[in-house]
Amino acid sequence: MKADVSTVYIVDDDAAVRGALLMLLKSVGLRGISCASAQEFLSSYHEDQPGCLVLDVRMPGLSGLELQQQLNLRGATLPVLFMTGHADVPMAVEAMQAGAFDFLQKPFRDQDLLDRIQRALQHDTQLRAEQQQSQQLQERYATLTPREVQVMKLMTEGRPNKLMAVDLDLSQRTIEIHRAHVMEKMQARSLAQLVRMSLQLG
Amino acid sequence: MLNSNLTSASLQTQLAQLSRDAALCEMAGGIAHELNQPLAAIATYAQACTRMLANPQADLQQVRLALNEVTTQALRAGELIRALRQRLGHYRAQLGPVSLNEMVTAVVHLAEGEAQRAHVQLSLELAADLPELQLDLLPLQHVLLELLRNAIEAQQDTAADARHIYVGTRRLPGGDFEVFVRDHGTGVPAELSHRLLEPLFSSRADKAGLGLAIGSSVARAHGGSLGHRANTPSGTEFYLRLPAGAAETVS
Repeated sequence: MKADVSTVYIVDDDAAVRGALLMLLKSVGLRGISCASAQEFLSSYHEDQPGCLVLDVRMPGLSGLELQQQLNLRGATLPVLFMTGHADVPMAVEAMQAGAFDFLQKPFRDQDLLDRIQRALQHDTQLRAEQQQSQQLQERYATLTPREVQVMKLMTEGRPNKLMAVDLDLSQRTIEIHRAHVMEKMQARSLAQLVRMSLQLG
Repeated sequence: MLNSNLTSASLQTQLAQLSRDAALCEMAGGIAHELNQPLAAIATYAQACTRMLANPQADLQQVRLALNEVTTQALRAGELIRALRQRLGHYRAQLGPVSLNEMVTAVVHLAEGEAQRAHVQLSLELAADLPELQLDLLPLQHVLLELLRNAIEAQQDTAADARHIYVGTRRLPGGDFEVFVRDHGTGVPAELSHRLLEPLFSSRADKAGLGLAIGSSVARAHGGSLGHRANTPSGTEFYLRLPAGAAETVS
């Protein structure tokens, strides 16, 4: 199941529940894919695929909670919405503690489910954008020479060029050239932006 | 006030009635998930139909498919209930030796998750040296769990640092036993107080109001009672009273 479009993945062992959810998603123009078991989902899903997971907490074989653990182990950040029965409150608590996005009790109002799905999809989109941005930042930072790394650190500490030249035993002119390279390689338009980047890099 | 010299025969008769309630609780819990599946499917198909029909060019074939599914799932839910009824007919209540303190500890353990979620602290106050009693453990556990859940919910409007529930056992001067659940919630308003144990009475829209009524019948079947008293300065203590006689039948 290759998908670049945000997709709502449904995992429930009950065919009627799967069918109903797919029809509901379709009626509001959302893309849905369903699986009958946790194993089936795990073998066909890749972490790069955006969306959210709507998961029944109680299933034969691998349970919903175990599937969530597997995803956590894989480092998948796909938001998980749990569907529970009334008697499954302790399981829902466990799921939330393990990082589930939200849960709701069966049967539910369609609007409650769709609102949660929308929030989960937004969360996923935002998270992926942040991850991508952070990755690009790391890649740009990796192109700096050791000298430029030194200069960037001093720049973000607000060190004036004159003092930086003394610190690094270089001419002011050379410092200025390094500064320009740092700004260019990091694609920073201002010192303030560079400071923000350095905070993001940690 | 309490009938403490129960004969074994009258206890058995009363337990026959009780067994229906208890079995209902137990089966209902077990079957809830199975029943939730067709209900969830029905609700979702019906709601999908409403959404599809909002579109003037709705695909009526899809709507028809969904409505067929609604019928199928409703019949499936009916089958489940029929199976539940059949299993109920075979249920028999069993008296056995029960340690009240162990029962209380086990139920408190069950409710811990819910209590944590509601930021309620649970404390045990167990009486020492209680004898084993002849009781039907399962329904009593249900009653106690129901009392505990009610108490947790009653704390919702209490200041977070005062959310404390005490669960325990005591022996009364007359020899009867009590299991109690004491909270510091908003208490029971005087006008509701006498109706609390009526079947189907509930102060909340989302509850069927059977819990306390079943609890009361479970207590009566043991020759005891379920009641409540106001707690000072605030809150309520619910108690499940069991007769001294429950200890004497242990050989």
